[in-house]
Amino acid sequence: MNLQAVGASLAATREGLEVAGFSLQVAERNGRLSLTIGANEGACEECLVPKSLFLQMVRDEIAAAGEKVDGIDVVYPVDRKTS
Amino acid sequence: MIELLDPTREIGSGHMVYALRPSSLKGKTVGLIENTKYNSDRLLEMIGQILIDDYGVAKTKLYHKHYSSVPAHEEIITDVRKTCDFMIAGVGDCGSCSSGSVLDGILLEKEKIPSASIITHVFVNTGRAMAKQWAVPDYKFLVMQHPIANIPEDELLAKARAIVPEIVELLLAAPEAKAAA
Repeated sequence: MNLQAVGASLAATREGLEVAGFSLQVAERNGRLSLTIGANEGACEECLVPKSLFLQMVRDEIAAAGEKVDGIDVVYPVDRKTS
Repeated sequence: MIELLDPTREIGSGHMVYALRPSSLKGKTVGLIENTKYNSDRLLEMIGQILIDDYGVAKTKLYHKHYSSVPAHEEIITDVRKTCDFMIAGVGDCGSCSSGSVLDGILLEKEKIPSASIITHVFVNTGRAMAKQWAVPDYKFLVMQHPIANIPEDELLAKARAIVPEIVELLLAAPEAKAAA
């Protein structure tokens, strides 16, 4: 996985998250793409789309950029609160 | 207890079949489904007034969704189907509300109501993903420049004026030759 290229392919998703007060952290863990969404102060948590939709978006963006990933893990702010 | 609502579903493939379009807006009733986001109601009201003043629309009916991130509730869908000739939904200026407004348009088109969903440019990929999940990846929604919240009245009006021609075009002519009878 070309992590830099994959990260760049997610520019649209990143912009959408940032205008709603979130951050997007991109990493590779055990060969899988790890996407961690962080909530900044005042972030609109109800603005996050369901994970299935989020995955659809990022898969489409990665594919459109011609990149390939073996798997994607998404961590939402609420996941860290409940874990 | 908090009820978690997920408007997504398994992805499928297909083509959007649009409702049959009348040839004019004159004398018609337009439903406006606002998604609870700040300024959405105001912007839709401005759009509605322009449609009345410039296109001969008889009246508009403003509906308020219960939640921005889910489709309009059944009572709204039913009332639009019974009392409106067209529907405009929006304005999606966040992730979940954009996907919700796109879904409103898809559902009303399935109910044979010519519809236009509006979201802001930052969330085009969100709207497209929702359309894909509802097996209509080619569904056409309208896009305006982000943001719509926290902008002055004159800027809001300018955005309304700018998008009305696109709304009219979409309401009167389905994007492809697959209009349902």
